[in-house]
Amino acid sequence: MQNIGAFGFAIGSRLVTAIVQLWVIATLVFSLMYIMPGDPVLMLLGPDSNPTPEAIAATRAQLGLDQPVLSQYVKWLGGAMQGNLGTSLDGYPVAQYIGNGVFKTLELAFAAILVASLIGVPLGIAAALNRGRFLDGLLTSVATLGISVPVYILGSLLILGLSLKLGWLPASGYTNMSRSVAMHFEKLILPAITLGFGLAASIARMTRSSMLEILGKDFVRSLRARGMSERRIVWRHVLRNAAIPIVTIIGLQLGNLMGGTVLVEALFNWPGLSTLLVTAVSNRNYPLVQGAILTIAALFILINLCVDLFYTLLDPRIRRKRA
Amino acid sequence: MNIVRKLGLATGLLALMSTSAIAEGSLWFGLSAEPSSLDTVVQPGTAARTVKLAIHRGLVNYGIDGKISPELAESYEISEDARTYTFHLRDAKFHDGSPVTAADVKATFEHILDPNGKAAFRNELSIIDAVETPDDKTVVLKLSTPSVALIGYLALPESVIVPAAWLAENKDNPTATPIGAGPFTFGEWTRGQEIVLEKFDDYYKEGKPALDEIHFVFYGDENTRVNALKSGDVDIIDYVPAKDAEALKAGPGTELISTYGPFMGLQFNTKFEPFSKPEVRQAIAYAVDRSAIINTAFNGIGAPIWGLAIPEGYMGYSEAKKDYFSHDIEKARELMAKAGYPDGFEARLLASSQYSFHQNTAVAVQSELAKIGIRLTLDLPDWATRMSKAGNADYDFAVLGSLGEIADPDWLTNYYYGGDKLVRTNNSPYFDDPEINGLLDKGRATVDPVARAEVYDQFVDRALELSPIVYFMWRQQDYAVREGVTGFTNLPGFLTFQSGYSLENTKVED
Repeated sequence: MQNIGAFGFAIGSRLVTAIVQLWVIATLVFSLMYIMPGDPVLMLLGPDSNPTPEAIAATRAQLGLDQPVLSQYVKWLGGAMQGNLGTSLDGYPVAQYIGNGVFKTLELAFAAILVASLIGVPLGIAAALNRGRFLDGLLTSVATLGISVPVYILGSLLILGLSLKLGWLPASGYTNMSRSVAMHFEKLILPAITLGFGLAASIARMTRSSMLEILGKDFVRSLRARGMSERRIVWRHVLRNAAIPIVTIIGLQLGNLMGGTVLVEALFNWPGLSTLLVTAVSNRNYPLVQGAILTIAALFILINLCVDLFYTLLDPRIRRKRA
Repeated sequence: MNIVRKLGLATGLLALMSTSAIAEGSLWFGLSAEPSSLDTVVQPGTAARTVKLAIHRGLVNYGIDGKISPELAESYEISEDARTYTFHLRDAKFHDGSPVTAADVKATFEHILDPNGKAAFRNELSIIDAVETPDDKTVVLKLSTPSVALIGYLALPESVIVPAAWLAENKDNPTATPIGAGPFTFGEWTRGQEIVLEKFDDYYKEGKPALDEIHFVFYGDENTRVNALKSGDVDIIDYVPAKDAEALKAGPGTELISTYGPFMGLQFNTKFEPFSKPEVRQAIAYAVDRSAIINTAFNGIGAPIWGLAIPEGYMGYSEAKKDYFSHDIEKARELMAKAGYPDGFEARLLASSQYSFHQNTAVAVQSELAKIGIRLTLDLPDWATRMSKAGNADYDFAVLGSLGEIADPDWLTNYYYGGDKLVRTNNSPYFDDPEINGLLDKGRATVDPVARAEVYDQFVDRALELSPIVYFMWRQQDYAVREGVTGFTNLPGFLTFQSGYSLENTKVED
């Protein structure tokens, strides 16, 4: 009982911290947008068309941008607290834009993490078990390469090779599942690999070092001394004990991906949150920028919270320490 | 090995399934931006225009030959004194099934002319004094001052006709479903991703459009847009980057549809002391080697301009004056000395880092002008900032990349007219010459083409003498299509950004 109460307290205090973090981020973003030069009304009406001062004034009033910044801030924050992110400058609810983008970014991030884990974990294990041998050196070098190659280069190479030369996969875009399931996943493959490759490398390195650490522990020696088979030692005992740092890094990376898909989304024209954010910034679409950043921040915090809670569950020692 | 084989098989299957999933008669259009609005009366850029011209038609529009094409009006007459325009409507239907009537035309113009409205061309159209509707099929526009140029503004995508009933309900609703009388009906807009249009079966042109649907997919990144075309993800793209033009032209599998449309040049803030002097502006026109701009910023693609940016065939174009300037550093130095700046001066040049050709033009200008002692600081913010600085005349001079809105010579008004609004996006701030204003007013009101041409000849002389704007080059404006796409036309010259009109002729073969 006491344990559950302590656990609840842990969650509660984390949530309060998260809300304060969100508020700080929201306020910062709000201020930044207003410090930035550039006029959203001009972008909306089309600067090339020389909008009349009357049209500019009318539009500004219609959008509420003629109000004092502080009252705009209070109004926006009040809405945001009730889950209302306001209206994009083109008249559509910000939530509609976010709704269209967020699942695409999440889908891409999860696909990338899946790719990264499927490659990274086995490679890390193989490297650890062959420590100091040729295979280890090879895998470590590949991992270093993987971390160092910028996603932009890797993505461009993949597009050039697999898409433009061989024609195996589409180069860009997004197809709704309702239109074509096959096409939907085809278009997911390249961005997921591009995004996942670098992550695979860091997962592999983390897996390797975590495995090595556990392999060096006394209990492993005892197990060996008792004559347990090497395979059983590795799979049943070492891997399980090595899992926490691996799960942590996977979780952290997933969180980072919420804001870290910018280049890949741009490269593959993936219509996710980052693409939305970049466009909104260049059009000075304040409400949309605020909404998108708030969503990205909320996802980041939420995922980190989940990771935390997850390994609290995974490792009884952490639970006890908290209590 | 097994996994590899399975993956290969899966990919193959996916490929098979996907080919069958593409509907026939669908065009996938890679647009360089998501329109910020489909409101017919505002002009937020080419992407919006392309979509608007697929959905809407005006009384007249610019056709694929660059001439005024009668659309919802079957025919029209302009009175001898250029004060009365009479339009005879054809039997056309809006997407909601209602007929296009004179009342709809009247309501549309009232909306455009609303003093509190957002219409981009309200100023140009505000000479419309009254819209009369003697019967359901006739519209008479009475003008407060004579103008032969009005027909050009009526042909713009911002002057398209929408139903009166729709306006009454949706005038102030930016998210209303657009209804027009054009070849395609509005289907769906997935924010941040694509706009889908569907064929309008009751379009007034027999047998058109050929396409069943159009997907406008937003490709903000130019490299991604080009790759999407090469890999067949889309069938057509706009704003082909200069560096990719040659490759897409050569193919295989792709084709380039080109025109010289926009121009590059410089606009001068005439409140900045040195730029208030015509000699300095002329000196700059002599000092800048046009090929330096074309090579630095446009991969060598483009045509130099040594006079005014008036396309061949347009009124005001003159073979004799098209090479008024030349690359002549000596002459430039003389002019600088004459203006009182033998040792040059320092100035800020505004451009934008968001578009590489704007930035690179600025870089080339910087090194060219150093040769006559003008030392430049480059101001290269993003586009939104650049535009808002332009709106406040917050620059000494700026890189200008634009074009005339209409094919009528009155396009010059926007660039040269003084009047009561002296800071505009495309003019040289605070430049106000009574003689130029007078000639532009006269040109607009002169009906006889020969007499009118003479007025613009005089204008050209004066404009070159004062050179409030210095031009560098014609920019090639390209669309690229994949093999099998036919019927899309890049409208000639200044009209290139209205090429969406030709989507009614566009076909796709597999």
